[in-house]
Amino acid sequence: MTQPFRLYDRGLVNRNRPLQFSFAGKAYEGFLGDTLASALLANGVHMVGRSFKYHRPRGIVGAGSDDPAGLVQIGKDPRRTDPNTRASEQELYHGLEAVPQNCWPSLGFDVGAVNDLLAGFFPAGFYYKTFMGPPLNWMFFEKHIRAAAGLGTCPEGPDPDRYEAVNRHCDVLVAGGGLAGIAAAYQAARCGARVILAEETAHFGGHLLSMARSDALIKEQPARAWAFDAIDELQKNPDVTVLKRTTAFGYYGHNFVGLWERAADHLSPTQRTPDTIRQRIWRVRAKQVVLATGALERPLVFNQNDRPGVMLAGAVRTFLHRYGVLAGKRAGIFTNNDTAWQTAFDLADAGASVVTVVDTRAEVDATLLRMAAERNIPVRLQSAIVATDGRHRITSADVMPLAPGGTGLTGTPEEVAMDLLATSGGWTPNVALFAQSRGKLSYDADLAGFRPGPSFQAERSAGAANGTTTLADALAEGTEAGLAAAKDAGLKRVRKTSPELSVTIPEGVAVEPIWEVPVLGDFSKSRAFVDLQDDVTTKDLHLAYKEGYRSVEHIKRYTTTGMGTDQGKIANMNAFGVLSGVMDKPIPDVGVTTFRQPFKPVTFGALAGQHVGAHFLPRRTTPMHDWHRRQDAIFEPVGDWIRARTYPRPGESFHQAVQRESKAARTGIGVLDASTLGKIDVRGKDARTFLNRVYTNAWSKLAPGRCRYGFMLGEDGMIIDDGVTACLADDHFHMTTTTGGAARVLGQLEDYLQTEWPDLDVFLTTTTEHWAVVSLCGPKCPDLVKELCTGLPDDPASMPFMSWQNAEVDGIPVRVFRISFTGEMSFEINVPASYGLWLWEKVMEAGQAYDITPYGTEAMHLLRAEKGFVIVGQETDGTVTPLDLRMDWIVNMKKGDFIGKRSLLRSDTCRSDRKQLVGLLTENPKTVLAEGAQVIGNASEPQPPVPMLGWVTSSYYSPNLERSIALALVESGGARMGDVVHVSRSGGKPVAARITETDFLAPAEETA
Amino acid sequence: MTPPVRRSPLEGRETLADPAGRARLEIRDFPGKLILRGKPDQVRAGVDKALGITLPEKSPETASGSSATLLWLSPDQWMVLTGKGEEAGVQHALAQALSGAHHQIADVTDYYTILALSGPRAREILMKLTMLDLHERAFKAGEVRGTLLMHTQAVLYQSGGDGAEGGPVFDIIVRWSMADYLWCLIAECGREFGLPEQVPVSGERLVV
Repeated sequence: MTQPFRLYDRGLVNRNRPLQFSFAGKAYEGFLGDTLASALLANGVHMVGRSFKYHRPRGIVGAGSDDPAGLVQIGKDPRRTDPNTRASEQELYHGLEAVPQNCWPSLGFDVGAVNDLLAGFFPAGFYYKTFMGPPLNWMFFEKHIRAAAGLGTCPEGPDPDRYEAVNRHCDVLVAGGGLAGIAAAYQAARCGARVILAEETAHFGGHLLSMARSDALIKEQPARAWAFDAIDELQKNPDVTVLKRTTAFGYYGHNFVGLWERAADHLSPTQRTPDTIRQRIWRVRAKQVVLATGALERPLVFNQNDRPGVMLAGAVRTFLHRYGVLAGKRAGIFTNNDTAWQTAFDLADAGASVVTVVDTRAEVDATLLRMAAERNIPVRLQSAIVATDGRHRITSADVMPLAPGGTGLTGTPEEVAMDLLATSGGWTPNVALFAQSRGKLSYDADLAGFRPGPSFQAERSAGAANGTTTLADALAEGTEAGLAAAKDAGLKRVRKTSPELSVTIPEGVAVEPIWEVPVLGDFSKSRAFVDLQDDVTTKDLHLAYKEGYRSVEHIKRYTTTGMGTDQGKIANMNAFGVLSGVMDKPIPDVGVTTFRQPFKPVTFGALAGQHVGAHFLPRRTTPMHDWHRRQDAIFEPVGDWIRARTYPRPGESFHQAVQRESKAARTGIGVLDASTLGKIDVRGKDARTFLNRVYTNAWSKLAPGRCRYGFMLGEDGMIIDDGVTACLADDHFHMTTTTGGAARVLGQLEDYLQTEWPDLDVFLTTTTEHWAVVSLCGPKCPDLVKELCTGLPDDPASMPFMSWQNAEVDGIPVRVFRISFTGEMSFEINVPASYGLWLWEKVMEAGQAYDITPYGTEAMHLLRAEKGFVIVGQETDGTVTPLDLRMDWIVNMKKGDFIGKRSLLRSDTCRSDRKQLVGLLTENPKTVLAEGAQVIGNASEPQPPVPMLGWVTSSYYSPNLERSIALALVESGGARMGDVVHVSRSGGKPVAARITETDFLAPAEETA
Repeated sequence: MTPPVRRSPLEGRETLADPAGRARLEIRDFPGKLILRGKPDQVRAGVDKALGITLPEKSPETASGSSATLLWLSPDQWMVLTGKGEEAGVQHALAQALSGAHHQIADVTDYYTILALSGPRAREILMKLTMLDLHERAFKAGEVRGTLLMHTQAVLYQSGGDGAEGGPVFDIIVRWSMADYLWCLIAECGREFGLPEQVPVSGERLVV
């Protein structure tokens, strides 16, 4: 296969490695080292897609991450396909399949292109106007807009590739691997600094690669040779990390910078192994940052400037020298500055015909005119292009002289045939990262662009990013920046090692801005694009101003200029310039839109890194987890924990299993894995004072060996946690917390000790997971405890309720607590976690004789509800006091201060009509209320608003009471005993229920 | 009846080693662990008396004696590492020496487990999970720091130096319930250095 636009005397591509690829279903050949864009251009393909709004043909415009238009879809594997990929950044690999975007049924014939004919109906602010118009407008348009909007197609299903995020610290981070960046990294490394150098493309050298080798020399060798040697030296330095294909995408606070490395995007999926990392995020914390991110060329804004084949002049030069590709063979140049002239000379030297250089300036440096004459290039000064032609690629342009003063046109248009139009409107320092770092921009009239002003963070800019326009200055500035950065990072200063650099071609810019090229004829019929991706024209900007928009941020959003995936890299400066004319204000007074992270779109895969799938989150499990798994238990997440919820037997439903387990725990022996409860060791001579302050009840007299239940309140008097605390010694306690509250409670208590009560001699240490807890429940469990444990009373049931003792199981020390969360006879055996599974299995083995039944968290909830015990977070929601639970006995107002005490005296918390916890018994004992259902006073639900009395907090069918039970928070509930209320349910009439006390076990006998 | 069996949270996991020697991940065999809390002025002498160890008093110091190693965790908090089964003896000795001083000693041997990650690429693997500076200029042998390894709290203690053949050794002290998550995540991060893929325990039936 031939590549008609390929040159064989230059470029970094490997001509011995031809690669086959396809675009829009057609096969092509490129070389290793090509990007998709350079390979397409080598084959004469310019048009790659259609625009967002008007579906106009779009071609390759830039040579890097600045290209707004050359977007394609990469790959056909639906799991891997990558939308909105810049062809100019996608490196070619064998078998690459690319398809155009935003066109149907084909690139050449696109139904959506009808939008272009209807352009008058899609003015600036189209969406806003749709929103703000009659209500049905949006309803009508939405589905059409949603169907038509967007460019590429999202991948489907789990991403098969691997990604990762890594952290790095360094003394000096250098963003940008052009001449200035290399010099900075080189110099900083010489000072002994830990350096990270990140280059966005596959090659270091930046602008040196976009010029002929001999145009820049160091020690009589091409300057790029020095640059490559410097990179080699840096790569050998163990304290330097050299990253290519890596973009600094976000500059955050404290010199934290995000880098995005496309580690394997240049490899075909078949070349990647299961261990290959496709993309990597580097989260860099740098002492000093050097920004050497270069400058972005902006196009000229003229009528019909969006045809494929209209490219940035600098990009044309990059394709020529870096890839050995002629973007066209009959090239026109349209510029307002010197730099595009070199594109003309280089194209001519490479064998292309340069049909014209059109320059808007009246006067141009004599050297350029001489060099053009030497190459027989026709030059038109003080002229402009006013129209172009060509359906899917430019075929000609109309050139017209500008009236003196640049205010209009004069003479008649002249048509010039061409297959490429390279334009340049000047260069804007790439200040995105600088602005993200909160550095202040300053307007440079010489550049007609913004450059870095005062820094906010520990960074400095160098080279073209700093507004520097010559290579020698960039080299010197980079070296100085590297040296200064190393010094500010605390390293010793060493001698500068900056070689002499000479450039043999003109290097000036001498830009004379012309933000809007004058339009020939009716302005309203012109199509001069400012933002090629979002289809924003000069007319849109004018209209926004006419409709009253004054802030550049508002105009951006109204017109969508700069809001595409490229964030207006080459468009924004032109938009500011156009607005400056429209508003008749200097550009600095127009202002700039905010530069936000990321500099360019970063994939979600990279941001998620290795923390996906099974590695997404820790799943905390208890020492007995393996046993629960072997029983094929059903589990539930409780905070980070995965706890066994129930253990269905074969053929048993979830509900049946819970009923069976709950019954067994009150008739035989039930056993629960209660290891997850939070545990805090409390120690110090003031421990009792401390407990008195954090719990609502009194702790002064709790004797060693005894336990007590307590509520912890927030300062607002609301319950935040509960648990049983055991006295180990006079100054030593073992506190338990809820499973989910463990970490929060510990943090809060430590906070009180450190900041409010530093006078108390108390230390806290979490011991949550040191203990595995086997909780036994049921009338027969004393017998089993006796069989298992040595060191307890002959009859374990003689241990007082709410007491604990040390004991042993097979010589392993355990703590046995005679406490209960079910109201039933119950023991909790605590054993060091490494023995947890062993003890559990031993209990199950010994328990066989008692027909022991393991029960899960669901039965635990049911059992405690039968007894009317509350669960913090179920009966409480942060607005419930102990008095609301009608547990006045647990609040001791006489013992001194405790957290939340004062709030319990507020008139609002003292109200008698607050919602209070009560039991609910439905009239029909089979009816189980829905948790969360509203309690209302009416038998039938009236029209809203329905007077609501409260809601159901817990609801079960109790196998032990053989009827449904529920707990509810009901207004003045304590005073309504025996009243009948109604509970709403979806799809049916409210259910009548009688208000009762909460302990269903106590009155059960009366009602039976 | 089965005699008492101790199990680690990583029961069933086996040492992971890169055949090329770049990284190695293993489980420490039940070392004893205590948390000691106290004001340095009040516990300094007792620690010296009981263990013959000079109390490390600032980050990131550690100190070792014949019976124990003290890791500085916070201005009034240390982790005491002992040999397997020796924690009770050390706890007793410390408690004796500190009687009269306001202090706290809690046995957390089974609260935490210790993974040992070693090898010349150990630092790079850990850098995928912690935002600490792990460069050998910044984290040296004998130093300890608390950190987050993605979603888990952990204490990193460099128990072996960089000079040693085989690279540094990091003891990673992590909660029991987080150990399997971390084990698998470290293996995942070490795949580019030859550690095999490890799949976390998962797949439990969940009811909505």
